[in-house]
Amino acid sequence: MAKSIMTRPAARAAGLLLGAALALAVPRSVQADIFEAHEFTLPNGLDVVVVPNHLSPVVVQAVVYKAGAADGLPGKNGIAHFLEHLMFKGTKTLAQGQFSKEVDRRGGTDNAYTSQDVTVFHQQIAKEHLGLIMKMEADRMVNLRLTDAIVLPERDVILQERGERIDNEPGSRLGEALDAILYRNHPYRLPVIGWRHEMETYTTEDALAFYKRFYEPNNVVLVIGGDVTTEEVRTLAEKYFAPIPKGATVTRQRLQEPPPSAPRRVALSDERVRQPYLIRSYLAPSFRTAKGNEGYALTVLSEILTGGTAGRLYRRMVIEQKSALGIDTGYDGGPYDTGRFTFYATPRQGGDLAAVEQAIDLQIAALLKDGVTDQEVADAKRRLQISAVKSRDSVSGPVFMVAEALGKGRTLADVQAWPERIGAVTAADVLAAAAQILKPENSATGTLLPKPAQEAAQP
Amino acid sequence: MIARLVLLACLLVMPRWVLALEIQSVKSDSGIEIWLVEDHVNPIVSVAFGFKGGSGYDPVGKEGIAQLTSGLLDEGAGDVDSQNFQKRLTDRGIDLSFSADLDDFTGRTRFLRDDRDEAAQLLRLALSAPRFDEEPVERIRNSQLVDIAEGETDPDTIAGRQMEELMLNGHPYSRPSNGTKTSVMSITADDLKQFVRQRFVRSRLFVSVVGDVSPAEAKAFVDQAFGALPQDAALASVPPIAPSKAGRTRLVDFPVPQAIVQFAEPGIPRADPNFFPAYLVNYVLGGGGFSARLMEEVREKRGLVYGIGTDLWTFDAGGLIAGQFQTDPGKVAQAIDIVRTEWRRMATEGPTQAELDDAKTYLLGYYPRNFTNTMDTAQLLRGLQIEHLGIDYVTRRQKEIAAVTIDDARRAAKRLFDAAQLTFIVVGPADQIKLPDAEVVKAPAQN
Repeated sequence: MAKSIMTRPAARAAGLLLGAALALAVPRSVQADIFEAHEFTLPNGLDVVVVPNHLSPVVVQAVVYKAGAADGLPGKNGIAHFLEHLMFKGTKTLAQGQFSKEVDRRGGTDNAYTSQDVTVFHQQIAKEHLGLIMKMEADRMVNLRLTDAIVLPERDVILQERGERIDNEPGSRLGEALDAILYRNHPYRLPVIGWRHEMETYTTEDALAFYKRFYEPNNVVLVIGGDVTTEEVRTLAEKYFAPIPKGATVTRQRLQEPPPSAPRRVALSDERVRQPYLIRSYLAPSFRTAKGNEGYALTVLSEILTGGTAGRLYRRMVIEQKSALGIDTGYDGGPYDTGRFTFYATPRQGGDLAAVEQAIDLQIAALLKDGVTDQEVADAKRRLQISAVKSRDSVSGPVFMVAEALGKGRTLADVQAWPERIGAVTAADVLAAAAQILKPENSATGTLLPKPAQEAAQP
Repeated sequence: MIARLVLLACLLVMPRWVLALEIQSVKSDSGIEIWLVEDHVNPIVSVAFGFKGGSGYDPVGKEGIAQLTSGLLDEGAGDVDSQNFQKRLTDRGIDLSFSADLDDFTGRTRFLRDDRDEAAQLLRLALSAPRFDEEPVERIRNSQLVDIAEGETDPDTIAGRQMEELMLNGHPYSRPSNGTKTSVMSITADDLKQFVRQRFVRSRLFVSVVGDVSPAEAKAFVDQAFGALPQDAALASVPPIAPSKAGRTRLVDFPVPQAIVQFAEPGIPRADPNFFPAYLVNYVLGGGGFSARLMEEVREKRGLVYGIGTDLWTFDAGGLIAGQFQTDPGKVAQAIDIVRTEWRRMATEGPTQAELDDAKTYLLGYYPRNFTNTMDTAQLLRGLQIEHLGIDYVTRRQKEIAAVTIDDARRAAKRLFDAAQLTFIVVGPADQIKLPDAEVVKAPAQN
């Protein structure tokens, strides 16, 4: 359920998909004593984090603009994503498309993605080319050149992208419909890519206005990982990014959610659906907005419920009761504003969605009545901490974790303290967080259902 | 400029990382060859292994058995039932998974170095004594039946099945790798046990180990995990494919807002001596993302698609050149026209020298990015073993790519790319798609 949209098709976006997948599990992988990330800030306000990793002579760069779809003007919320595409269209000194070609011809890859809160541009390349990719990112931060001749064909591209990712996929259309009722006021209710009828009206001026407002060095986190030292990065950052003048202070201005009042439901039927399923999301605080350790407690809760196939919901609903074919939960604590805790369930073939939903409700009721055991908490914490160690076995993974967290208003210290804060969660914390979040009025439920094909007209 | 490119290519041919990546070939005490890279940065070990013989080798009537087996090996083995097997994996955070492609049955496991005994023991049980108890078999079978049912209304799957039918003329590869409802329902626990006995044998095993282990520890792991497997068992080979050269266009009438287009023509196997020239030419035409001609012509200039790409598909039994895109129904004919035009242009002119140079420096510079974590490295090494490319491949590859000349590339383009042989499958609403020469069919019901 990671919400992000990228410039390039999935076939070339393996690194990005990793990043997107991690949005749900941002902090899952970070361990203070070995993470060894270093942070410094340039005089123009640009925040730099270096995550050294010497597995291979390769570097990864992520440039995070702290602006996403939820920061767009009414009717223009897809502009963040449209601008992301247009950032590949050339500058005063780089021709249209040249950015990617310069990276490609050196054996690198580059891509970008947009979510509700951030727009991220990233590359992976042999270490000797780090200066080049930093120089090109600094260049397009200030020198973007757009004309209608360049912008309008790209608007057709994002419409095709919407067709491919959403209109053609019943599950994506349900997700879009569910977001629209889960959030009743906050712009997270709107699709990152935009509604089609609004996308058709986007102009060059709309894109440039968003660029001018948000693409300032003081609104950027630059994360460099891989076979590099902090001093090397500092020298290059001072050379390429420091000359960019500081911009106006940027603030996020968003409508916020009112207090919850009633559960919401949406059902989508489509002839193409063969496997019905159910998604139920509960509004929940994000790591940033949580008071106390609620976010960490909800992370442990999800691991207890469905971490691996040994989780209690999988064991009870899939193996013992056989009411479900699959069950999963996820806590998305990444967002700048309100996050969510989500249940996903598919019934056995020919099975009944109502029965699966009832089984989930019974499990939630049992959870709220009896809580979780100390053993469950200890097992979940150990599994999460092993996953933190394993996450170090990657050059790009830690870069995206830091990029996501800092781009969404958390600090490097938060990220580094993750294993410690997970370790401090108690069974009482888990029960308290569950009781706070898993209330019907916090929830929106979506069901995906088959629709019998219409009978052919008789002559 | 030319001098700079030549220099760059020379530097990239033998970069420092080649020296850093020491691939050792070691033999376990029981005689199993292991490709090993020691990497002591993190206390983590990744093991990638595979057996020749994937879903393309499924017995007739039992299509889908390789895939079903791949979902069941971690669902109970020896005297450990499904739940306890899963618990032992998750308690230690041991990743273990299996999968089947057309040619090979593969697996991978990653664990903390102190857990190697537990990981080896569970892997040994999974490969040599899977239980196939009724509860997990029915559960995983059910999942596979759902996948099959979903494929019936998935336009990509429909297009792929139609392409296999038109291109492969009934070859075993053209059967669905996850099977049919009938075949999957017919698979019994005895079939699964026979599959395991026949397929998981040391004569067709390939193993690579990467991470925080010494050669002695790697050998001990491999003997513990694989040493108990039988030496050999008969397995019928798959005949060469004879892909269609007919160049047909088939339109499958199906109600989706956006049409799916797949296209293919005969290609070459990985073992072809001209593989790299062909690979470079394909990069220029459609494999190189935003550096490729098709992306430039179809997306960047005209906004007709979000993505378009081509690949060389290489199998033991032959190869295909295949590509795909999606677009509005009303734009299908125009986009197909551009693909054909670019195909013809590549066949007659080949790439330019500058395009070839960029393709070469991409492929040369790209390679170290395969080695940024222990599992990717292990899986890459396993692939080299299965393809019999040799332990010196990592350096040899660079030299062979660097040596490709513009004449080599033009010859490969002329030999391989023939617009008249391109077969197109379009899945979308037929009344909105203007393809006068297409054969129009209904989406087939499957079972």
